[in-house]
Parts: sequence; C-alpha cells; structure tokens
Amino acid sequence: MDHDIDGSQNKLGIRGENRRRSNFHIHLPSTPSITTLTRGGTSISGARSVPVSSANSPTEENGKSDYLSLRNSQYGRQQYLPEHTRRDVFLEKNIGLHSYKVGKRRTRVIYKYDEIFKYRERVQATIKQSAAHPFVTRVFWPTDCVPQSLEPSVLVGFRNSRSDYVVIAIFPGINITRMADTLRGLETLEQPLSETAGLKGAYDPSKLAVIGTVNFKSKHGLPLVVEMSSRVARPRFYTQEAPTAVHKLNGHAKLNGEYGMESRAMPFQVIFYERPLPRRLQYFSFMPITLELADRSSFNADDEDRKKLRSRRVLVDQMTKDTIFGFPQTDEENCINNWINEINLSHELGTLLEKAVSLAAVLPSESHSLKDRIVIGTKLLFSKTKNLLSFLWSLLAMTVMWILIGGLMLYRVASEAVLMIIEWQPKSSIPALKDISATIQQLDLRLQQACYWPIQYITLRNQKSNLFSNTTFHPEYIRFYNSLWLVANDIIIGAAVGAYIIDNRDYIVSFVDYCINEILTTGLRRTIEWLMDWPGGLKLNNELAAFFGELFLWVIEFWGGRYLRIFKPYLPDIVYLIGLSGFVGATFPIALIADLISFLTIQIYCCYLASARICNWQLTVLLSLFHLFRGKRRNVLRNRIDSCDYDLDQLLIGTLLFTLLTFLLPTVLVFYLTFACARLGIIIINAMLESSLALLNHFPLFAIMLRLKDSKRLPGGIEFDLVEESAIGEENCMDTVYIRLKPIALPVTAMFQQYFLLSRRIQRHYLSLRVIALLLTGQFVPIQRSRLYSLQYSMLPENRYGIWELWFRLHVFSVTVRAEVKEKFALITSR
Amino acid sequence: MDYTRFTTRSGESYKMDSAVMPRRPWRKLLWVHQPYPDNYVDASFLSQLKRNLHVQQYSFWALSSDSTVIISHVYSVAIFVCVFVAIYKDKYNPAWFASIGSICTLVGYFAWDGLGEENTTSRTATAKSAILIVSTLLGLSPVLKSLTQSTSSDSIWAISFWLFVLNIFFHDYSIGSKKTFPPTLSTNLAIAAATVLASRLSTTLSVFSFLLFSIELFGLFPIFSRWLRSYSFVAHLILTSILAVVTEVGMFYIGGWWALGVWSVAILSAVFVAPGWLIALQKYKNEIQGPWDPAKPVLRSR
Repeated sequence: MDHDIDGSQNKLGIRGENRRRSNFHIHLPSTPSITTLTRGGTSISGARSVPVSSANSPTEENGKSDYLSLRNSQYGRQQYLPEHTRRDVFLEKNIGLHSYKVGKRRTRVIYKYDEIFKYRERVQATIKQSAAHPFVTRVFWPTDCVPQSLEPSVLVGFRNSRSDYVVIAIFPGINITRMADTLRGLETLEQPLSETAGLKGAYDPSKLAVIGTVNFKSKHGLPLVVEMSSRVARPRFYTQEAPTAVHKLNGHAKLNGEYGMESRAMPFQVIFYERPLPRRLQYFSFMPITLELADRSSFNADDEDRKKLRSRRVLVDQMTKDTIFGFPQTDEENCINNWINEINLSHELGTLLEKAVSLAAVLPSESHSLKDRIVIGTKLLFSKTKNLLSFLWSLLAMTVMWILIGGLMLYRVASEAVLMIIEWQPKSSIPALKDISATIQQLDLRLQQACYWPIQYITLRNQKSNLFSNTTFHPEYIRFYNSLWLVANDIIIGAAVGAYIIDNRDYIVSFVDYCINEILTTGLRRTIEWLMDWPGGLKLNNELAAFFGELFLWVIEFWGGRYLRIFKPYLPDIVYLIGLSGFVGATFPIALIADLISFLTIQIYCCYLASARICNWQLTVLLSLFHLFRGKRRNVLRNRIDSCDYDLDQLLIGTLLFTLLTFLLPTVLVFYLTFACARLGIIIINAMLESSLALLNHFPLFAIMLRLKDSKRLPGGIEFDLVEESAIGEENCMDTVYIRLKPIALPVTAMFQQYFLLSRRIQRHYLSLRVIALLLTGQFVPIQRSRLYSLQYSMLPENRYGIWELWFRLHVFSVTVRAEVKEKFALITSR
Repeated sequence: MDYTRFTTRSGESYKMDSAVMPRRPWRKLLWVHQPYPDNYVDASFLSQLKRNLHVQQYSFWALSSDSTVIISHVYSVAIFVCVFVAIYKDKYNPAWFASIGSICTLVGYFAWDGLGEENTTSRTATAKSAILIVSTLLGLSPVLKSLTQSTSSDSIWAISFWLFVLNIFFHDYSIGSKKTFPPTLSTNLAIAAATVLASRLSTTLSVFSFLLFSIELFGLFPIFSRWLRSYSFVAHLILTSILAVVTEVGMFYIGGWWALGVWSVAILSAVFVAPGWLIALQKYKNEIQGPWDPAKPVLRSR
C-alpha cells in the first residue's frame, strides 16, 4: 500500500503496475494511488516541487531540497473514483490473491489480511480528520485559453460542489451580469448553431455558472477570486473574507504533528489541464479506449480466463462484505464522474459561449451607414448563393444516396445468401464450409465486414451532426477506419503480390510440380522404404513393417500417382487464379495457398489418421493387458485399479498377446511418429500462413497511426504531476498546490492486447504437456480453428445485423437526409 | 507432601536442590513434572524388555523336507530349459515333448478328478478352454515365429533369464492353505518367458509344441503339484524324486557330466546344507519386545 517516496517515482500516476499486467485492467489497478492521495496518509513526491517556507521541514534538513514529500491528510474526503471501482481496485492490488492447490481439487486462496486492516485504520483516521476540518477547494484550470491581455476577466465554469470547480473559459472585459444572462440564454438559444442540438443532456445546466473573477473583485460574492500577474504566471487565489484560523498554517500544526505529517495544509488545489480539442477527437478518459467491441472482449475470454475472472470477482465481493466504505457518498465524492466529462466538454462549450457573447454584442444596432449596408448586402447575396449551391449539392447527394442504398440492399441480400451457404451446418458434428477452408473463412470475414460498414458509417454520420465532445463514438470511429484502412492496404499489397505471382507463373508452377513429385511422392516413398528396412538401427518387426509400408505406399501412390496426375495439367491455371485473387486482397492468395497445401497433403493426413488409430488402439490394449499381467484390472465404475482373479485360459491368452504386442509396439510407433511429424510440419506451415492472415486482417494500423499523430486521441488514462507548491505570505492569499493533469496515451501493448491474448491461448493449448501426451499416445489433438479466428472477428459484432435492421437504419438515415434537403430548400425560398 | 501440588507449582520444582530435597523415585511418565534433569535415564528404564519371545526352534529334517517344495519348482524350470535347448538345437522332435506333456497332463487331470477333489469348473468348461487355448496357439504360432527375428539372441536369453528368476521368486510355495490359484504374476512371467523363447524357434510346429508344453508345465502342473502336496506329502516327495531323476537325465543329455555334477551339488546343498546353515544362524537372532510395541488386537473368532 505504501507508495513510499523514492526518487524515481515522481509521478503520482494512474499508471501504476501496468508494465507487469497487460490485459484487462489496463489502467485500473493503479487508481489506488489516487485514493491514497485523497484519503491521505501516503505520500506524493514531486520532482520539481519547491520546498515551502517552513525552514524546519525535515526534508530540507536532509539536504534534499529539490525533492519534497507531502503527507496529505488535509485533502480530506474528496474522492476521485466511484466507490466500487475504488475498493475493487484496492483489493485487487493489495490483497495479492495467492492461490495454491490443496489436495487434488481444492484451491486455497490466501490474502493479506493485515493489509486490509491497515488500510481500514488509515481511512478511519482520515475520516475523523476531515470531519473536523474544511474541505480543500479544487479548481480545474485550463491553460490554453488564458487571454493575452490581463485585464479584468470573468471565469465561467462548472460548480460541482461548494469546493469543486471546473473552469472552462475565461472572458476578458465582460460584465458579470451579462455573462450570466448569456449563460441562461444558452439553453433556450434559438440560433442556427447546429452544435446546440447535442448540448442538451450533455451537462447539467444548473451547474454552469460564472464562478469567479480574475484581477478584480466583484460584489457578487463569487467563490473564486484570482489574480494573475502575467499570462504564464500561476493564478493566485484570494479569500474575500479574512482568513480563518483553519486556513492558516498554524491551524494545522497540531494536526500535522499528531499524524506525523511533514507538510502543511494547502486549502487550494489547482489542477491545470489543456482543453482537449473535440474537433480533433481528443478527449480525457479514466479507462483506456477499447479498440475491440465490448461484447467481443468478453466473448474472447475462454473458459479458463472466465473462470479466473469470476472467482476473483466472487472473492473481492466476499472480502468487501464487511465494507470499510459504509458511509454515504457526498457530493464531493460523486463529482468524480462529472469533472472528466466537463473537461471534455470545455472547449466546445467555450467556443459556443464566445460565439454567443459576440452575437449578443453585435445584435442591437439599428442605424446602418451606407458602407454597412453594402457590406451586409454583399454578405446576404453571398450567403444566398452559398445556400443555393449547397441545396443543389445535397440534392445530388440525395439521388446518389438513393442509388447507393438500392445497391447496398441488393448487395446485402446477395451476401446474406453466400453467408448462409458458407455457414450452413447440416449437423452440429459436421463442420461448416468456412471452418474447413481458409479461403472461405476469409471470404466470410470480408462479407461480414462489408455488411457492418454501412451501419458503422450511419452511426458515425449521425454522431457528426451531434456534439463532438461526446466521447462514446471514438472507438467506433477508429474501428471503422481501421477496417477500411486494412482492406485498402490489403488490396494494395495484394495487387503487388498478385502481379508478382502472375509474372513468375512458370517458375512457381515448376516449383509446385517439383514439390509434388519430389517431396510428396518420391520423398515419402523413400521415407517409407527406409522405415521398412530397420531405420537407424531400430530392429523393427520385419513382417509388420512390410505390411504397414505397403499399405501406406499404396495410399501415397493412389493419391499422388493417380489423382495428382489429373490435377497437374491445371496447375498453371490455378497459379494464375491465385495471382488474380491478389487483386481482391493479399489475404486471398495466402488463404488459397494454405488451402492448396491442405489439399495436396491429404494423403499424409490419411496416413496419419490411420497410424494414429492403430497406435492408440495398441497402446490401450497394452495397458489393459499389462493390468492383466499383474493380476489387476481397471474398475471403470470407481475409476481405479482393482485386483482380480483371472481364469487360467484368460491369463495364458492375455500374456501371449501382451508379449506379442510389446514386441510389435516399436514398429507401430515408428510409423505413427513419422506421419505425426509430417502432419505437424504441415500444421506449422499452415499456422504461419494463417497468422500472417491474422496480421493482415487485424493489425491496428489506424490506431498506431493515431498514436503517432496525436496520442490524445487514444487516451489510456490520466496522470497527475505535482508542479509546484506555493505559499505566499501575503494577506488573504491562499496557500495553493499546483498539479498538472495529463492524459496518458494508450500503451502500445494495449493495442496488441488481442495478439497477446491469442498467443497465450495458443501456448496454453498447444505447448502443454497434455498435448504432448496426446500426441505421443496417438490421440486426436483438436485444432480449435474458431478460437484462432476469434481474433479476426473481434472487430465485428457477434451477431451480424440482419437485412431488415440494415434497411431500417438506411431508411431512417435517408429520412434525415431528406429533411436536411427540405430545410435547405426552405432556406432558399424564404426571404 | 502432596505430590500433585508439588508438580503444579512448576517454577519451584526447577529451583529445588536435589541434594537437599528427598528425591521421589523416578517414574516413566512424560506428563508429570519430576525433579530430574531432561536427559536423566533411570536404571529401571529397560526393565520390561523381552528378547526372542516368539522365536521357534526349527528341526533340520522338517526344513529340508519343506525345501523340496521349492526344489520341485526349480526342477520344472530346469526341465523346461532342457526341453528348449533340445528343441532349439534340433536334437529331438518337438512333437515328442508336447505329446509326453499332454499324456502326463491327462493322467494328472484324471488323478486329480478321480481322487475326489471338489470341482469348481465342469469338465465341459475345462475341455472348452483347452480347445480355445490350443487353437489360439495354432493361430499365433506363425506370428510368434517371426516376432523377434530382428532381435539378437543374447537379449532374448537375458530377458528370459530374468523372467524365470522373477518367476521363481514370485511362485506360490504355500502348503495346504486354500488360497486362490493359479498365482497370476508368476504364471504370467513364465508364459512370457516361454513366448520369448518360442519366438527363437525355426518352425511353426516347434513353436506350437514348445508353447503347448510350456503351458502344461507352468499353467497346469503347479496346480497339480500343489494339490498333491496338500493331499499327501509322501506323494509330493515321490513326485519330486521323479522330477529329480528326469532333470538329472536331461542335464546329462544337454550338458554332459559337468552340468550334471554342478546341478547335483547345487540341489543337494539346497536340500541339506542350507537348512543346517539356517539353524546355525538362529543363535544370532535378537528380537526385542516390550510394552512400547503397539498392542496386538486379540480377535475372538466365532
């Protein structure tokens, strides 16, 4: 729990322990550090913080003047996180769920109880203090909209509670009453400002108010009285009334001494932030942006992951039954969710207010001079032409849209038919077409993507006419453009690959021909002949080896000699086809090659299946005969080995067969292992091809581009930096701590989280002892294609939107477009 | 002086000077505080020790007559080895051995059947299983013949040697008690050894005859000899001496005088020297019993 001070940790961050844990709780686990800041008792350390005036500060005595630690109980009961998150996060981080196995099935979970008790004590101490002392006033201060001139200005912002303010704009040289009127009018504003449409419901209008003044004192009794000496200087906060004893330094001395605090009370917390630009789709967020669909991320978790998650949740629930957070939440605590929204809104709202203020300033002027009239007339004419042009343009757009909608619906019906054929399963045991062939899988993916695009587009388009600051659609935007980009990329690469294949067709054909002749036919035959003739000094049973060898030789001859000979003349055409398919995307040639390999190696698969069956059968028989040999037998009902009295004839025949099969086992095993290795090689080649498919289909190209271009568009959390702590001995001036709020960009590991998940799963499924045991005993090793492909589908909804859903959405969309056109028409006709 | 009060005041008991205080006699009770140091050992500590309480005195002749039970099984293994060598070296027709074995088996069966042993299996069932085994042998003989062709003979000899050693160790030598029979593991070991050896033979007929003979010798003969020694021990001794004669003859034919001499010395020492040695060693026997042993429950049967 103790984030104790060490020089390296100068950021009080929401960053925490992510370097270790890259999956689900990207930035969640670190939030306790916030809690500790507010709850008090732990320390903040700031690299650039300046030691305060008190000369007897212990840190200064130690000579570390550039480094100051604060133990802040004074921050009181202010909470940054909602209740449940906070405590879950705390528990997740601090309980340290260690589990180990007890006996065969039971798992015991230990947790660090003492940590919880420590935490509880600390929290209770803080609550006691905060009840006795006033709250810290917290002000979020935008750094990018401070006016050039330092004339008296008005602060507009949200007042979330009596000690919690978010400043969104600073208006210089404006009357407070007029500003208040404008704010009141903002709700009922009847202006052609399209932005106002989305404003309703985006914030609580009762909280938006004039909350303070800069460089002058008003008689309205506003809560914030600020002075700024220059544009870059830190704002200083003044009280209107005489400072109370509580605000004074001495007022806290006893308290600090009592709790061993090293620093003093800071009644003002100023948190600087740079307003995110909504037009550039920047925003702040506690949670990292999720690039995959929400329902998909849970779908992707396989049983084991899910079980782990579930048990953890249950445990955390149980642990917090006797909750230490039993007191009701106050306004101060609830405002956590508000301020991040308000910060996200600030830029848009600020510009809107500016516009409203400037309009109000221009409005009442009746008398025009000639010059004015000419200017106004030209403007009018100009706007009329503009309106007409835009009307014509939208008319054209509407016709095009109708044609497009028709085409889309036709396409959707056709693709639905194809998809139904692809996904058809006559029985649940028989795999669908798309599960057999990589090409058809790829086709399925592309069709589904194409079915989803119009819906994504309409969603985005609707959003566009709405408020920009609404942050919910950003992931959707990234997903949409990511998939478009990937397809475009795929086609570009594919064209190159396709052209290359077509150009080098002869060479490729001869290579494939060589592979078929030399590797698949002659090579295999030679291997089997080698196996028949005591391979590597292994003394196999001659007769059995000859039998197996001839059997497998026959299969290989049958497939390679007869069927592949029919297939061979078409090889150039097939290669040409593969080359052509490159123009639809590089994924298609790759998928086709994977399928071709599967097709050409069917005989190996058949031999593998046959030898695996024989080997497995023999091992099973040997095991039960071994039990007989020892005079035991397997009791299936109780799943154990019982002793048993066999008859003499059973014993005799059993032992005879046991000896016989033991001596035949090496022969069978050698043949089986040969084919298993061949099969493994083919699987590895196919897996490589399919992982390149996954890379082409799912690479977070757009996200990476955004990360490079503007990392604020991919928020991965927030962090706080201690900028400065100042105490000016001036009368009425408040002691203030300056903190900077910064967005954390989404870590690159989070973008590739799906890949990590997949690799972990592959590792668990294929690199385990279980699989090796299965492989060695000739049992079937299941290849879960659908699991591998879950990555590729993670950008798509689980159930695709139906035809009627699409039709409905397109219809609604067209209606809105038509309404827009009508509006424009009305604009032209009206004078 | 009240004893219990004295011990409960634990702090004082340590301070007491042993020279001054009259000592209470030491008692072997761990849960009582006593004025003695921790490592104190009283003279009465091992007073209840008893030695060689259950040791029996052996008589030489009883031991040597009992050793014939083991000797008779060793004889049958030796006969088997002799037969194998005879067949392997193409000295004799393998069918002879099979026929002699079958005749002996029939005789034994009728004797066993006629002398009033209560039968658990009917004769038809016995005949059925006999036919089954014989036909299985017929079917498997060609396969067995080529089973270890690629393996070298040395490893086969080694395998069969160890299998026979294990067979002799695991064999059931009990006299008279009604345990289930046949003993599974030893029979299986012997049959496995026979199968391994049979796979070295060259013709199908020899494989078949050899396996049939080995089944009669290791599957059926133990049942008969066990019955016989519970029926009458004299008959068992007679059977053993017949086996001895047959073995000696076999040894002579296979290995000559040299083998016969070694074999006879080994057998005679097992029957006469080994029991004497065992009796001589009895004086080193040192069995310790005492009250610290776990109690033996006395079961009142019936």
